[in-house]
Amino acid sequence: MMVNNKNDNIYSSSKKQSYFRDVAKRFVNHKLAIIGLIILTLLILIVTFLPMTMKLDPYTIGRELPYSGPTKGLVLGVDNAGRDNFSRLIYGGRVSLLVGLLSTGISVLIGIPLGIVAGYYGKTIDAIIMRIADIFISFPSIILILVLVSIIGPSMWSIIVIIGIMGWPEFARLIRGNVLSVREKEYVESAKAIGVKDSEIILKYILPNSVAPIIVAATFRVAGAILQESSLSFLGMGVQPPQASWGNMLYGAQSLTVLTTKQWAWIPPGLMLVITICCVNFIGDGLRDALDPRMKI
Amino acid sequence: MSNYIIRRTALAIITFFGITMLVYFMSTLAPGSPLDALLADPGMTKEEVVRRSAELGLDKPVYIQYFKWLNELLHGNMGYSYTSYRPVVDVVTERIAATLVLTVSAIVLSYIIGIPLGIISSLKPYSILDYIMSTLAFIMSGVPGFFLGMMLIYIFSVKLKILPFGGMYDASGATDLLVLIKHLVLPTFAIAIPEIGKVMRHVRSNMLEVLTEDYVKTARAKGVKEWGVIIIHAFRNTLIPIITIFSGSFPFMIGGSVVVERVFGWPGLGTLMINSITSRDYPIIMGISVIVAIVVLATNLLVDILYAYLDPRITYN
Repeated sequence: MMVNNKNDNIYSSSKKQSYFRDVAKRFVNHKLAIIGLIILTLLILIVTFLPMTMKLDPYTIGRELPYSGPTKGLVLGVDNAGRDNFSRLIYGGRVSLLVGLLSTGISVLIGIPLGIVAGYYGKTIDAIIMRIADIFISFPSIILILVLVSIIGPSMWSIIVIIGIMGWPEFARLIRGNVLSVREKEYVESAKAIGVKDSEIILKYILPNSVAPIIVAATFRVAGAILQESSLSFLGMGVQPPQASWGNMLYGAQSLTVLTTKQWAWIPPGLMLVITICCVNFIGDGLRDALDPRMKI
Repeated sequence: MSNYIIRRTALAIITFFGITMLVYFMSTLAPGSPLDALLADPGMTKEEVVRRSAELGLDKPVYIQYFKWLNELLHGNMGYSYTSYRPVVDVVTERIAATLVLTVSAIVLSYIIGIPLGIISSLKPYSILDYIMSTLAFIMSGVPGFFLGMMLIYIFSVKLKILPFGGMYDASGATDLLVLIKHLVLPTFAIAIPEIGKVMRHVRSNMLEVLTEDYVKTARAKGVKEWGVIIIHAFRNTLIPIITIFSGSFPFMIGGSVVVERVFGWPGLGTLMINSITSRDYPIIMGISVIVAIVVLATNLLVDILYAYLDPRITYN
């Protein structure tokens, strides 16, 4: 038994190495993914360290008259309350990335256990969980999110939780499908036959098989969550001023005067959103090509 | 086939009740109750409030209230708006046409533009043209609809002054088709552009798969003209997978219109939804959710049936 195990490890570790080398190779070959990764890394470094080094101040009001244009000290002018737009742009980036990552984490943490339970135990519990997933998927999530926000109240943390809760069905469906296909494999049946516990089968045999598609789906979900947060904040139902978010920086441009004459106030946060969402999507596409060449689109 | 249709319909009905239940229980969690308005009246005695509460059924457990509400709903009564005191059915049905005009135009546009571009992209895979188009498709599918809408207004209404920046008709009150179309162009593109990107990518990848099939080679070998091979032999076989992505993207587009309507001041359900949420008008919020659920589920049911009709193999699963 011991000897066998050792051999197994040697075999699997060399196989693992070549698998990861293949993955890395395929990812590096995906030019857009590499561009996305470089820009996103830069962005993360900027929003993390720039506020400290430049002593940015996104909160002091009345720095200039509302919607004053760019000056030397205030390169993107000021917003409706006279706050520095450039500092708000950098702090808004923190909010977007935080919301994207944390809410996706919540979706994964809810979706994976539910998907495993549905797929592994099947029957009634499967039917119930998947029906609930259908309800969430077949209904425009922005409507449910708006209703929830109106009940709980808008803030960055409530947005993270709400977007996180709404994102679970995708992951539950994904992992359920994987569980169903792996459950029938001979090695799972033999593990069952020798009395391996359910929890161990799930952790050792089923989860590792689902890691790749989950990473890919989670990457795309991060982009989706950033988009949802910005839409909510744009509608005034998301991150609330004085806290800055790219979405709420565009809120003021719902007025035609701002839209027409104060471009410096709303085009930069919009472009940052487009760039960030595209970079995350490119990385997701690269990961999909690299982790599972059989997956499409 | 008929078994399949019955099963699909049953599932759609179950999902419909699930959605109404979800939204109903969510809205009962909301702070404030319909009684608050009564309590604000100083002439109201305690007994009176209890009597009114019993009358409205608010003293009963939530699930009984839900069934009462559902019963009313099935009789076409969705209650009254807290703010305008008008029947919810009237308020919501007034707005639904505007939203449907917008989303249906956006869907049609995204397929009309997305399908040919996807086919072109697939004909010379990994060429520079394909590379540029695929990248553009990816970028388009990630642009927030509201930012897109604002850029379109800025370019076409403010700078070029060729299209109106919002609303559905002119201030003059004229309601002819030409005026409507002029107002429709920008919001339609704002919803359609992200969708065009998705359609392009789906069509391209499905075409790439089909173009390697034997029957395509056979058609070429038999001397069928190249466009005939592409359209009749290859593209026709990608239609089925394209139909399936539609049912996934329809709710998404309705959701997108909520935000885009706000940008363009389009008088549809989205604008009504945002206003009702600001004023906590829960009967209206419920009404919109029910109508949207019916529209989305009915559309998806039709797509499922169409899908089974086109590909009978599906009914055996």
